[in-house]
Amino acid sequence: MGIMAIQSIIDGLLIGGVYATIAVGLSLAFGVMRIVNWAQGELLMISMYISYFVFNWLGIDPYLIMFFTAIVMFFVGFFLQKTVISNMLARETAVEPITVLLFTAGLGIVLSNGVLAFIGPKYLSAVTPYTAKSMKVLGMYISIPKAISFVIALACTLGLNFFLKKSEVGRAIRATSQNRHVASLMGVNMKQIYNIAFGIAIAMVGLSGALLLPYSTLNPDIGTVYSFKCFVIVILGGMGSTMGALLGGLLVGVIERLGTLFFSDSVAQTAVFVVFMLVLLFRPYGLLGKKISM
Amino acid sequence: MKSKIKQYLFLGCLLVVLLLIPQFITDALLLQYMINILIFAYFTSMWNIIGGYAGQMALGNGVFIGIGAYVSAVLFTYENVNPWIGMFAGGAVCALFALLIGSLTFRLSGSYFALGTVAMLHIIRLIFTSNKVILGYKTKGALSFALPWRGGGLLNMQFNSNVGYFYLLLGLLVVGLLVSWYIKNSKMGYYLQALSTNPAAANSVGVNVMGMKLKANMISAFMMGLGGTFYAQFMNTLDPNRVLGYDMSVQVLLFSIIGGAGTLTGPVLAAVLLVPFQDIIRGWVGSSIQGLAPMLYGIVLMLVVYFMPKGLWPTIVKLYKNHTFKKQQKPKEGQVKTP
Repeated sequence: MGIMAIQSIIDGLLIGGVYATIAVGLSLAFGVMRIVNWAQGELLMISMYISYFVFNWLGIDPYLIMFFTAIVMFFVGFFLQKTVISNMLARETAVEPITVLLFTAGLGIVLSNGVLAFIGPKYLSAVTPYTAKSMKVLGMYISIPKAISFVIALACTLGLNFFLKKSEVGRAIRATSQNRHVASLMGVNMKQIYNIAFGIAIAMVGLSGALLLPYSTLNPDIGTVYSFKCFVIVILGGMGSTMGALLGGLLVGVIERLGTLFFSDSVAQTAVFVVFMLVLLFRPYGLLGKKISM
Repeated sequence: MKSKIKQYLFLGCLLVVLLLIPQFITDALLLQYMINILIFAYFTSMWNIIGGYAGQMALGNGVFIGIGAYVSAVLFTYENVNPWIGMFAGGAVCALFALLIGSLTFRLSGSYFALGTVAMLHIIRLIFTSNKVILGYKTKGALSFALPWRGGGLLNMQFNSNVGYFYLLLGLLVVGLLVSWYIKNSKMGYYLQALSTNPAAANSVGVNVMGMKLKANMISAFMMGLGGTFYAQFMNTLDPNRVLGYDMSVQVLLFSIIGGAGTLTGPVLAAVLLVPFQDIIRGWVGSSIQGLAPMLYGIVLMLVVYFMPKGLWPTIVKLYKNHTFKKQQKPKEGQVKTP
């Protein structure tokens, strides 16, 4: 029992690291632009499909495809913000525009149903050299693809955190998220910062798509599953906080695995949402979040 | 005053035409399409109370359709409770859930409420699909739940032909629209309008923002739950992944947003325009291509949100007003007319 629990916790941490990378983009977009990107999961689904097809056609190692999907998705995010969302932000007076939420919800519907219509509802999975491999450490089995993905995901999340803290662009992004008017008075090109921030947010999603490929199946509905996990993670960690997203991701991963071990998969899923409700009740601004003025 | 009489006359004529439809259209399938329109026009109008009038993005509130449907269907099947009574039980359960989720999330900003309702939807759907027995009643888990056939026409809301259902659901829609109209033009409607435009200002002039939001959410949920009962009796089988699913929720919201959230006519207009769309596509390309209809809905939603954020109906009204205004100004020179 004990060893099974530890095994599950490790498994949960490994998968939670990748969850964190998906959620960190959502958190960043909310922190900087105060927009809720409802299509986060669907964009992840799309990047999983892209990596799947690239892998199948060209046979490139999925961990190299990662760079490709990240760059592609960066530009998707960049131009989505530049051409569409920025216009919607410009005419909205509300701090937290609901039209963007609706627009991205529409985008999510289009993406998931478009894939359903044109690729089909079949479950696909990529058979990579690592897929079923695992190693034995201290009597516990650790899946190799999960471990590799975890390390990369963790590095990317921490890297993003470092980038936001130390680099010039990162500082501009943080300044904009704290007070957009003052930041623009200080010479920050707000529009360009928004484009870059949203690009980075979606690039993290693209990266995670490739990271998930070696060990998870994909189908058009998978986006919704991840979307809601991301929201729970972001709210758990605190909207706008990178480290919060990391903590939230790891927690959600562990809760899921332990729930599956002791009860069943559906109980585990329900537990994640119950945690969400509890956080709303007791710590609405998340574990690491600060209360933001509206 | 004259325009009001004209309006009532128009509405009266419309109702008469609707009442006569089953006399001329006897094709069962065509009638079913129209029933679909009526159902969705009702649901989207009821969603509009919280999503439009109060301006709270209740993305997951479609789940109330499922809850209302299941509560009354279970009572009907196992306890022999008449659906006319069962629907109030379903509505009450929905209102309770709405109170719970609202009191948790209304203290926070708008997106938390949207997320809260969606979380509620998923919890309820997962509980339903993964348990075969809930509170001692066999709800059949992820399998569809079939209602027993007891006949009896209006008494049991079970008719032999679609004509009966047409009149039943037309009645429901009329009642729903009357409720919606009453709320919009009551004191509560003005409060809701105030708090959806500027909650801080509404609060400062003494509107109980939290209480009003909760009230709107509960009324909307109750009415959607009532509709769920009618839906269950009409469909005769409940598929939990459909009635408790995210897609249903999105569809209901979609019609309201596209038609014009916060207007009385908009949601109905959008349902009339867009519901047949799905049936037509299904008849046209067959069900072999799943997802095509929802995809087009999504595209329409994106376009409407981007190009006319207020929705279809307010845009039409604006165009019409501009048109008549120009007409009034044109004819005589030198004469100033106040509009």
